[in-house]
Amino acid sequence: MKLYSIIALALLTGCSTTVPVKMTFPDVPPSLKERCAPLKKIEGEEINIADLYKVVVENYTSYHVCAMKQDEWNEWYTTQKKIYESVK
Amino acid sequence: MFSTLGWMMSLLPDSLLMWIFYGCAGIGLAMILVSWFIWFIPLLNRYRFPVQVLGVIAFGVGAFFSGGYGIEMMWRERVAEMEAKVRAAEEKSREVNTVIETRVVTKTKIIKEKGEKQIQYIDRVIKGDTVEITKDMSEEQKAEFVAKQKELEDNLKNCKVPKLIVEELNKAAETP
Repeated sequence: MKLYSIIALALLTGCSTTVPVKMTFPDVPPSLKERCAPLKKIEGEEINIADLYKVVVENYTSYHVCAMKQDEWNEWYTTQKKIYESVK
Repeated sequence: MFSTLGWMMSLLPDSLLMWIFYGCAGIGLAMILVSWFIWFIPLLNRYRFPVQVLGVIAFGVGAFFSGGYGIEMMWRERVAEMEAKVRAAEEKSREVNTVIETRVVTKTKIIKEKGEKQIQYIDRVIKGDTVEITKDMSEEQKAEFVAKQKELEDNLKNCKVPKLIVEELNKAAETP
């Protein structure tokens, strides 16, 4: 009787395993993978303050675009990580 | 062998399979019990051992398959649940990507337009095309603007940026 009980228990015991379904982490949007534009240099022989101003404004613009992309990259990663971790 | 058996089993309706497995285990159990009782019946006594062996086999097979089937069903349910979760998450992930991609394009456009406007503003002041700039200004503001414009003109005429400053600024713009 004991032997029957042990056999039945062994046969009815389920095996623990993980579910073979996984989510792949998404790809970064292409616009966030672009490198920051290099800073512009002042070109020419006779440089006045207006020429200097233009280059400075263009470089500020490049910086603002690059900083914005950096913020968006962080936002993208944080959000995607939350989504990825919710599937568990 | 087990995969073929599994495929064959998948062709049968779930409820029928359950009845077959439980039935097999039940018959096996009944045969084991019967084998104990026939011990006391002289005519049937000689069949005791084969009945007991068949009973154990039937019970074992029934218990094995009903257990395996139950586990299989449980895992299928969990896999389906996970697949639905993954599909929903992937859809959400795609939506987030689209939102961020659109936002990056829009913000880039706004930033670049702002820079271009600032450069255009100074160009217009230098050229003296200030009608549009001063049209909404009060007399006091206009006077102040004209003074600033004159200061800029004087600066542009008389003050060149020293070459050393230009060179150093260009060096600072290089990536270290």
